[in-house]
Amino acid sequence: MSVEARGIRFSYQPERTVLRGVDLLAADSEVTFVLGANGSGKTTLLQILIGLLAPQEGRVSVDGRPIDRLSPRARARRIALVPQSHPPRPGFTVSETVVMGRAARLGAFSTPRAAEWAAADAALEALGIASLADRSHAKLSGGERQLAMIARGLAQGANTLALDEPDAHLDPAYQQRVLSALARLAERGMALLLTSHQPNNALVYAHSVVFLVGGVAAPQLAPREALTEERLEAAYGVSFNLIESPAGARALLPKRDGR
Amino acid sequence: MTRRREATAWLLFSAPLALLAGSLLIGRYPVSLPEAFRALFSVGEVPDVVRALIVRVRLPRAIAAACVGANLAAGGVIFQALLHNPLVDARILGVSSGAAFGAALALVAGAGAVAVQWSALGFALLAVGMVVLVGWRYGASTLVIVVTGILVSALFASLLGLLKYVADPADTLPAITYWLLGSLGGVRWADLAPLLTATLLIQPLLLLARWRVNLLTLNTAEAHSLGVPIRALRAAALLGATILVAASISTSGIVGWVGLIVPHVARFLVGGDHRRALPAAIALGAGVLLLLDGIARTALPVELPLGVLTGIVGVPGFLVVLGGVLRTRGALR
Repeated sequence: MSVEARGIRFSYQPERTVLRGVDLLAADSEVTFVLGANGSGKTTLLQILIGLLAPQEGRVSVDGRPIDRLSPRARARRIALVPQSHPPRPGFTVSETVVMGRAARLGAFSTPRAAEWAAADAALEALGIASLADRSHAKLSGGERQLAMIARGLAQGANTLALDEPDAHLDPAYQQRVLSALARLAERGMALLLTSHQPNNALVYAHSVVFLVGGVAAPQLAPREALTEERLEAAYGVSFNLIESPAGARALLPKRDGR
Repeated sequence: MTRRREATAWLLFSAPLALLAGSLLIGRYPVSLPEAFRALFSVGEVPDVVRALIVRVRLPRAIAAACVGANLAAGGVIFQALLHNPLVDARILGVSSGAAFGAALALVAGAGAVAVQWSALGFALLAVGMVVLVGWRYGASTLVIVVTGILVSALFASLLGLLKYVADPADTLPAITYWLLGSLGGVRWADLAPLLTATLLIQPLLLLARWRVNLLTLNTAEAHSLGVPIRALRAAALLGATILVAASISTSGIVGWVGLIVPHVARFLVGGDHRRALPAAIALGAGVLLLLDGIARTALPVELPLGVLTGIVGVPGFLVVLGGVLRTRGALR
């Protein structure tokens, strides 16, 4: 089940269409990558998928239910967004930022109870950062902060996580740590949908890939079919070499000067 | 760590009570603790003049100081969370300049103390209402709200200048100036109605919802994803904080800096989570204003304006806060 978008058309201003006829399925137990050049509409698409923006045409459903028919609380229990920027929160511990993920389960005048703190701890545990629980959020490295942000999304208890460039601004080791953690969540049955600028990460971690080119989505394909030299050139406007090792591992290298 | 935290909490919440009791005793006519106790609870023999002094003069003034301090601090906490900016307080939205114009207008019209207070309250709310309306029209981003706040403040400052220009220099102009300096000098029970109503209605709600104040620091997309109705939350926080601050300033005149600095000291002591930071700021604000008002009325033979005193303490305090903020952002080593 999980998140499905059909025939999405969206524009911020009438004359400038950002997305046209976009179809996408983020299925349970899978990692779905959305790739595309800067300004191709990836973040806009994520905001439509979590119901923050309403498309002019098309529909989004979460677990088979139209997203605009779900109450904010019901929606938050089904799909969580992990945004791209996550400023440091001086004075907050990591647990205190993660427990904010439980907001939809708390009344206006309640503070987090034992169950909420347990959910925050479990989320930190699942991402292998339980030891950071009492650390100051402002003192985390960029990679640790990304993991803490994913933990907040996890604490929400939703089955689908939509992540906006979770591998941006991270060194290779942290990219691997973050994406492996996401892959493990998919193995546990969650649907993971993420935008990225790293085709090679999609080759390693994706179950399926959607390319956004000028607001139009190419058909959703398995990574080996989606990530070809031709498709990358169409998406980014520069040429790539596809390298394959004898063991079958693939990598995409941009050519010098784009040719 | 836990023990230190407990000790801090005890100190934070007992200090305002001790200062409240202390402010009943000190002054040009010192009163002993047993005497004050007998006067307050009408037990035993107390001279009428002492009873009147404690019950009619010092008690309402001390309660006003505690409420004004608590409200300005709570308002500061809310505005800093709401605008994602650690260097703002209610003044950024024009509350003070609106209140100042309202008070001056009533003084020029020759109105009595209660009318001055209500006029200040009304114009403070009007100023924030203008900021919100214009800000909403232009997309309600933090930047737009702050810029609109500066514009509306400037407008009311000009209108205040006009009133000062036409005010009778023999009596009205000094009255306006005195109001702008801030003081709790003339406060009696009859003046406390708006302040007490706002405090008793809003502070308990705010304290109950203190964890939700954390959610004000989220951006719109994050809040949406977490299922938080962020527009309603922001509107409720803005309304509550504005009424608290407006009711306070209309009673005390302009008392600056408390709303800006006290939240930082509270966060420094108990951390940033508003489960602790909000109650701590409220207690600290009450304590600080009780202390400063005590100094204002006893330090010199004549009474010092409270707003002047908070300014003298507040400016160096602000520099310390600014240093801390810049250091956490890596802009200062």
